[in-house]
Amino acid sequence: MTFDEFAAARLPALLRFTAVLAGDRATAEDLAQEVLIRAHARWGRIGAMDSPEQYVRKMLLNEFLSWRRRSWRLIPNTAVAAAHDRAQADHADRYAERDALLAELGKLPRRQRAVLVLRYYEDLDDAAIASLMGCAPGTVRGYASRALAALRIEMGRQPASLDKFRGSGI
Amino acid sequence: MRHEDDLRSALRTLELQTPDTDAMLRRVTEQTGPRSAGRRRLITAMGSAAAVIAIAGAAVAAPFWVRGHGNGPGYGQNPLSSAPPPYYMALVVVRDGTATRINAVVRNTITGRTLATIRPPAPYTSFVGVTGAADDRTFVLTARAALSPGRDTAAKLYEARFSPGGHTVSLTPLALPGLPPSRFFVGAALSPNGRQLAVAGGASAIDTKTVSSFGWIAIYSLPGGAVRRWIMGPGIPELAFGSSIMTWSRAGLAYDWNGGIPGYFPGEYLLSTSGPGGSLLIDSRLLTCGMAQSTSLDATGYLTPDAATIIVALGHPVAPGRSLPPCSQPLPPTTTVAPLLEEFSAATGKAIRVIYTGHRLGPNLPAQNDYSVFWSSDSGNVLVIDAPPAAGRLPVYGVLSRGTFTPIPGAPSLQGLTLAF
Repeated sequence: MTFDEFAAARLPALLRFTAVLAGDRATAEDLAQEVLIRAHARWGRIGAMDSPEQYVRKMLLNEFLSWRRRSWRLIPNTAVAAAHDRAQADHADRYAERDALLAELGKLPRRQRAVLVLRYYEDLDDAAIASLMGCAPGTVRGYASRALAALRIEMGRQPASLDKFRGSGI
Repeated sequence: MRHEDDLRSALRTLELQTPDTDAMLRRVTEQTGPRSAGRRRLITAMGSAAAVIAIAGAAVAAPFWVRGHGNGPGYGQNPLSSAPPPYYMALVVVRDGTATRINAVVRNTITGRTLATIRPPAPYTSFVGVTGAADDRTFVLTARAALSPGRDTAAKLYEARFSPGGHTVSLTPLALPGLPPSRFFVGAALSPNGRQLAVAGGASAIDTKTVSSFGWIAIYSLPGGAVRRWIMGPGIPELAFGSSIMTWSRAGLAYDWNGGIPGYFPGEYLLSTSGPGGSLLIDSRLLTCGMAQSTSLDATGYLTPDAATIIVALGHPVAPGRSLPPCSQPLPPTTTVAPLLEEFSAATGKAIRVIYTGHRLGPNLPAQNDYSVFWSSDSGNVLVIDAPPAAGRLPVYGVLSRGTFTPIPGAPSLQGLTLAF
């Protein structure tokens, strides 16, 4: 599989994953560009693997987790979503809650956020997440537990609180 | 289950932020495609600052390296100032017709004014890394050629020497043996006296089927090029390093590591560089757990140049004299959202004092959850960081001293820039 063939088949999905991981388009673009350039450069090896997509996905995850010293911070850009949602006034409260949830997600440490994305967006189990992140499944569960607990607490402090998160099973 | 569904639904809305596929392919192609004729110019002076770049022909001609003596990275011979350096070098992305390249610029720290611009000499198309000595004149730039599948060249390192008088930069290629191909090059860090250069990368001995490679850090003596190498271990690829990973201190080289070996937590490690080389993990010790193992914020740590203090970003303060919990023992979730910077003793791990308490960025935006330390005085009592100057304001960079953050007027935001003081 050439890089072009790979990009044609899998790039849209990888870019969606990057966007959800990063939380805003500009950061997702920077992350994806950095990783794709590196992947392109070493495509002779990556393209010969059984699952090039899995490897590139791991590269994206590592880049996201190690972006700290590039003066980048995780501020979810909810403006686009908010503008999109305002046209549907009937569901204003629901969308306000969702925006609040996105804002709280943006406060999470990067590893906690990554675990939530991998678990609830990518639908991976803890073993698969642990493999991707280079840690033990127990550590993954710890990240998830703390992230979800933080969301409950933080959400409860918002005017449009998501009280339903309190005491829930997540 | 409805609650999980809400979370799933919220995450899916972020798909709206997905970059355009075609545009992304164009950006990648511009960076990796064949060189255009416009990229072949060896030297170009840009802008009104009369940047003049001189390429020294000698493979290694670096008298600046030999300022000072001794075996350490140079703190004893070249004491660091407590005032921020007047100049810094940053990498900036520029459009060159349809192509994109990355130049280096020298800027005035106080005003942000660009004083000189350096384009990578052909055949290199972009600078991809920059690191500086402690004299605010000497930098090392990493250049990279356009890449294409099946073809790669070694990363090329240049000494860039800034002359404030004429706003000129002389560029001298460094002949360092054993540099990896660009695709395995992670980063470099110049010691404060400019006599040692740490390079992080991957080995060239590659198993093409498993894509296993060896992460390593090499320290070159300059200008001679003698090298000592610390290897992370089989099967631990260079990807395990964080980005822009290394900073020097009196005690050695601090670096970020993302983990990947059971028992070795992601975090900030300190490599003792006094030995001949060997195992990176055996010769390293953990300074702070990374990625909020025990805090509410992304935080590894920043080791001050005197190696006495670690500065950590936290969600809530640790009382003086107390320590952060062990990496394997997470704290209960914090309810605090105001970020702060706190000093810990590098020797004991105990908290010393909170040096800065940040602000939330606005009612609907998160508190700043990450700080970048761009420069530190020897003891860490003066820092150049970026931080929000007030609630609702976007981060700017400025000087943090005695608990007060003073934004530098007129200075541009450093967000997204790779830079070195």
